[in-house]
Amino acid sequence: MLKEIIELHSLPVRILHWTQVFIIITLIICGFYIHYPGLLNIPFSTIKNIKGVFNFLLIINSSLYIYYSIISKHYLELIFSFRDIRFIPVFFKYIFFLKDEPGYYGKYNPGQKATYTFWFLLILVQIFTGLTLFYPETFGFFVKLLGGLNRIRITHYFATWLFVFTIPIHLYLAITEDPAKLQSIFTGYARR
Amino acid sequence: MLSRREFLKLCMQTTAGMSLARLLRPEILKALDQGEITRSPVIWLELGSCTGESISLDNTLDPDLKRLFLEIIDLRYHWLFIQAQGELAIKTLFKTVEEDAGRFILVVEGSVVTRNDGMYNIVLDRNGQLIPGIQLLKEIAPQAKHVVAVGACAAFGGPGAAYPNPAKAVGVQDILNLKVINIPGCPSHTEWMVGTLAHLIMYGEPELNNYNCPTMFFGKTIHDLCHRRSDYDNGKFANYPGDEGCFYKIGCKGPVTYADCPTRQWNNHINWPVKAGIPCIGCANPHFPDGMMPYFEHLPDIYLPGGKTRIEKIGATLGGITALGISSHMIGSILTGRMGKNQIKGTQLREPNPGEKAPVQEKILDNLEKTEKTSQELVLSKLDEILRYQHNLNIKLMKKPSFLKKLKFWVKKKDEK
Repeated sequence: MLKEIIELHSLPVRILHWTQVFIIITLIICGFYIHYPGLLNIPFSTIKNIKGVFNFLLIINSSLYIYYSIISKHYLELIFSFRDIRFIPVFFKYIFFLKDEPGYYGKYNPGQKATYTFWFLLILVQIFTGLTLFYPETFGFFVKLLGGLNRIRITHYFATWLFVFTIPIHLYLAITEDPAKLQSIFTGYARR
Repeated sequence: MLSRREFLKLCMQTTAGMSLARLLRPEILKALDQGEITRSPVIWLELGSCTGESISLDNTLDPDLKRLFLEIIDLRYHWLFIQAQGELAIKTLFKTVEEDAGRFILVVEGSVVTRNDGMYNIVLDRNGQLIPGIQLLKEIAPQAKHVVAVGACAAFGGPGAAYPNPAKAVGVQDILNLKVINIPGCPSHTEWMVGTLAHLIMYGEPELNNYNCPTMFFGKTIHDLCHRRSDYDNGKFANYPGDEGCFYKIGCKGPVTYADCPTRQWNNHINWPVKAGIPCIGCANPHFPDGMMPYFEHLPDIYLPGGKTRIEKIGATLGGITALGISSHMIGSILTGRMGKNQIKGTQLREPNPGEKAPVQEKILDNLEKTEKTSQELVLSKLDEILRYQHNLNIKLMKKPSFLKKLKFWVKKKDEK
């Protein structure tokens, strides 16, 4: 048999991934501080300014991510498609311990693809609701369409909770399921 | 006559102890004398309401209500403020509608009750026939020059249409296919009403925002105008009503409510809620009160078909499900030995089992060692690669690389060697 070094994550993917991690964690912390203020003895506007900057960093980084995914055709591996539906029974058998072998699905299994697609949509929702909250006068039409500022606030807040709940699943499975792939998000390479 | 710009300036400035009506009255009288404007007939209808707007209008001090009605507008019908009684009053109302069609301003107060064709909201008795509010509104409104909805109820349904809304009340604009100028607030400020009416008489329709509210009064959020805004920026938050500091933490709806209460203030520029020590409840918000309740919570309740709930409860449920899922999966993988197997053997990628196809997307960089057994699959893939490479070479001679390929600046091609 052959021993091979395989490039799993190219350099731009790794850079974009870790930048996104940093931005999203900062945004979640600042967002929760804005929702439950007064814990720290610092000016509230500092937190708001940090969040204001990172909002736009998220938009820039997400745009770059989308751009890179499209030009490198990486999105084919990331986004859940109809072709992945046939793998779902096998995947669920593995998750519920009915089957020992995980099986091969390509770069990511259907569960991962579904998670990444969900996050992609969630980030779009967050960017859109965030912008409407940031510029309510400019996006006045959408404010009325979506049912007022408070409704948008609830959506934004709830979407953040969805992030907070799905990130532990990602972390847990990444650490326990496949250390080789975990290594490759740092170094880019894995051995077979 | 006052130019429109000066008028707007006058409306937006606030002088202590001076009501807007007092500032406007001489200008309006001058314009009336010079014949530049005429006194518009006004019909004031009250539907499902608490008469709060009329009482709030009564709060105008200088000029008082009498002067306002007699000198500035020509009030033809208001069930509370007119002298005429019974049939005479109703005759006057319909006479105005007939004679001044296209000239009069219709002011509506209170939500439109739609249940049972509005029979829960009888507004008048015409020749022994009971007329519900919705019918009268539909009959009169198309003849009016402007329709003004005053108060949260008339503008957006408001408290009259609050959950669970047994009377099926709605705002005026949901019933009529006309442009309705909304003056929200529970109640509306006197000056919002007087100012808008004066603008309608002198210059026609004012500039409106997305919810059809005049931007001269509802152009900025309470939060932006608030005199406790510095406390918010400095992080000084009140924990209880009456404390010093910003009320953001205990559910002030100032950030989502567009109104000029902080600068205009209530009861003839004396005070307003935040100055008095309680958070804003957002009465001028289009989603008052369902979208604002509970008043002392940051975010409102969520109304589901089964009842109302809090977003925190939904969040906690989802969090519990996640924690349960992760912990049960962890127990399972420890018990079945999957965890140990993954951690020990998992430092390299899995070999495909016989019958399973290796993922094609993986980019093979280098072969470390070769055993005597040659992988048939690899030989085939290498052959395929060579073929593709040659194919590409041939193609490159003939065809220009596509735009997308030119943009692929980061994609490595180490495997080509």
